[in-house]
Amino acid sequence: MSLLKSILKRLASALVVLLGLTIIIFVLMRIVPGDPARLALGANVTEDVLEKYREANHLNESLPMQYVYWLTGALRGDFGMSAVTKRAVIQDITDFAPATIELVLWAGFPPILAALFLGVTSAQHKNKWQDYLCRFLGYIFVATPTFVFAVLFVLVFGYWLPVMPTIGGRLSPSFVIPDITGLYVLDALLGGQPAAAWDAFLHLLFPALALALGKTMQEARITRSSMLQNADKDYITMVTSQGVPQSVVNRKFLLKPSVIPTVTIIGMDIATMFGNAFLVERIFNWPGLSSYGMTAILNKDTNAVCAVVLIIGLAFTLTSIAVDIVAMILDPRMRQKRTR
Amino acid sequence: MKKFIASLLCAAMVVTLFAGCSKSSSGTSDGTASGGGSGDGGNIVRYTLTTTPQIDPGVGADLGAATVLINIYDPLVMPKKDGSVEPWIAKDWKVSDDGKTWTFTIRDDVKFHSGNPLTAGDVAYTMQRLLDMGEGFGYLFNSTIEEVRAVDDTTVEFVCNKTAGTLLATLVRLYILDSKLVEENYGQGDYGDKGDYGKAFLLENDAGSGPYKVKEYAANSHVLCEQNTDYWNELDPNAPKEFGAIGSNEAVTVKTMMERKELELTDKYQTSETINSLGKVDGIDIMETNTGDIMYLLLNNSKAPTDDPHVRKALAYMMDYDVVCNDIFPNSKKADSIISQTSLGHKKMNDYSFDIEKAKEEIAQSKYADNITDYPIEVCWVAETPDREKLALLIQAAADQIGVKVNVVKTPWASVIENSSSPESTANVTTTGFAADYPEAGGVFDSALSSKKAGTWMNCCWINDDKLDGMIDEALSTIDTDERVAKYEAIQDYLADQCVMIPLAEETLRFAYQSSYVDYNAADPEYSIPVMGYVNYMPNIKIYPDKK
Repeated sequence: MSLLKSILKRLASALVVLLGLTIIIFVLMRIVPGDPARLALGANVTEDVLEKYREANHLNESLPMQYVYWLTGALRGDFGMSAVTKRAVIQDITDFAPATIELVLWAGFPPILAALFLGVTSAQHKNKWQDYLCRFLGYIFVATPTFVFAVLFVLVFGYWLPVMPTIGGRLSPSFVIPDITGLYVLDALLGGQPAAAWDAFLHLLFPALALALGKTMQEARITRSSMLQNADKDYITMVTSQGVPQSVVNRKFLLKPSVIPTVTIIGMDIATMFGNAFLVERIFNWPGLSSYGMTAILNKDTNAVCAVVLIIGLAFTLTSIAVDIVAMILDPRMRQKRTR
Repeated sequence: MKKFIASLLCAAMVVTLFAGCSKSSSGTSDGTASGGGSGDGGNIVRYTLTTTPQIDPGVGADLGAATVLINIYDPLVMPKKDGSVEPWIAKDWKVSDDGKTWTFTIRDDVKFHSGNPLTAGDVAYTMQRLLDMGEGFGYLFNSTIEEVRAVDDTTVEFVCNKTAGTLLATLVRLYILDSKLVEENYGQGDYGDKGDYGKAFLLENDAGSGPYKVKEYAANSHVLCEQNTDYWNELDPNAPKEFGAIGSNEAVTVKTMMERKELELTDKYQTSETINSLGKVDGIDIMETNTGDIMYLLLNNSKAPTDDPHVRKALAYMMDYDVVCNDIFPNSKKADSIISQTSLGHKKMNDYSFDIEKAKEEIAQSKYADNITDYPIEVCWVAETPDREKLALLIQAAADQIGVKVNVVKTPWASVIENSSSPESTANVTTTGFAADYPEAGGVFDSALSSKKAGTWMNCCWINDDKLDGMIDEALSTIDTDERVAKYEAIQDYLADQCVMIPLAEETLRFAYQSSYVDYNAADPEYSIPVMGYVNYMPNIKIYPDKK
């Protein structure tokens, strides 16, 4: 019950945060120079056509009234029309979001195992070559920007060794899969088409790797630090002195408390991927939400920018709540603190 | 140690497994799409654009839109290589004695992709839609055409509010819509009983009669079109069965797709470095063509210090035209007029050269001679076209030599459009390239110099010259071609000494293309049509998939 209360409280405060976020973004987009009407309709339209557009979209109203119109529409799921695609923004979001969600899921979750493996290995073999190798690779990967990996993968696996589909969409032309969730790998599996699922996975692999590499090594380093910190604690010394095998100590007593900081970071990394995936999406021509958002920003497409920011803010909020829940599951002390 | 080696071996096995499962093409799915997918055995020509084009002929008006519209729709008249027009949907035409009523006779053997016959009613509907909506290419007609009427199934009349000598040339942009299909697909909108005028439907579908029809439209991704096998005009048997317009032109993506034969043509915005590196690849060549594009420095004639003609001339003398024509835009020709040599009505205006001393002299004669440093010149370059930064830096380097302050400002295209709406917000110098909307000098005069249309990215010189406006109006209203050309030349004579804008180079557009299996005649100077978009006119491109 206390967990449920905590979640509800977090959701309530998240709503307030999201509201504030939309206000900031809406105001910023309106005050940045650029006539939304002219940008939406093109450079050569006449003034009366522009004026009609402004009237229809309440652009002549005061800023607070414009926000009220936008908010009341947003609460009904109507985010207005995109000046770039000329479609309803909600339609754009439902079209593009699954591609980014799928990319982020594959970039965020499977590498967790790699991060934990590398972090644990590095900690267990402290100051041996495994540790040095992991730390060396960690420094390089953390320092290298995501888009550099993207370009490298395109160069190496798209050009020098063309072994993978690197660019141009999410699926090969010979496959037709049912549209159930919008996540192609899952939809293909649900549709009983393992070959299509494999093909969709191959299309995902390099964009996801490019997005994941730096963060995975960061998470590995945090896991290592955390394990080394906890390894010196008295309770570990006690169980070791009781004759408990080292593998059991690592698995049962050391790993769980050590991954809590990593879990927190993983959650934040996954949330930030939604916004930071745009370069990867552009390089791989991946039809996702981040790329759509970037195009909207460059074209001063206010409606689309506000909607994308809202979605990303929502993703951030939900992820941080999920991280809290996982942390409470891993660390019973956090549950007890909340019941006091 | 053993575990680590075992892990490495597993990874090696996985990579080997992947190598056996390689796929390089993109695909489609149930109701969704991916980049440029095709199932037609490689008989497809794909090219890149900066964004996914608008394919509604009442909305799209930029280069991207034009490349698709010309293929999925038929225009009323077709442009020719020499800048004139030939009959197309309109078989013939006549103009009334007062020069205001144009009567067109329409072909009776054309069917739309839907199977509906194309009639004069569709032509009238299309024009009326353009006028009512005021978007897309409507600006070419809305100050000229007063009334549109279909006299019968094969006769349509356009009644103008003045004599319109250039009307015929502008009708290359009237892409005929299937009115019945559009009317069946009206959605909710602001056009009274016409709802949204079919805008939502035409966003992703076509209602044309052209040599190609839309197969798949993916917003923010691509458009895929297939050949219209019932086209009324004969198509070359080697014309592509499909074409794809991909809305992304990141250099690394374009290079990789070209080298993997996932792309057949590049776009005109690739840097010279990218094009040159692609040209070195086996099977890829560079096509150079001139479609009337001129790279200009548009000068704000209403803002200090470029409101002084001497300062403007000084800028003209500060440009190193050899560097512009040889290095920045390789193989381009120095422009000698604001009108392209490919356009009807071109006349040589001036012959500026890179001369710092003359630039100094011009500054000395200007009203800002004593305090020119108090008036920094803002040079804005379009952020999405990296080569133009070099132009701005060239000016800055030259200006440094004579003590003129130049601020180089990188500006996103959206901001360029917005900044152009008033003389106060327009930069002193804007680096912009464009071709006329139709292949006559009038296209530039009307769109880029007339005060009536000031405030667009093309028309931001803020000249405000009543005499010039009068000369332009008179030329545009002259029906007789020879007389009209003479008036175009007179305008160029009038502007010769004023330096209202600086034409730098007749841009040689350079495209990398798959020469091993594509004949890119649409861009070949021997065949190319000097109207925006026609370098991607598919009936003028041949593909040989067996040579791929």
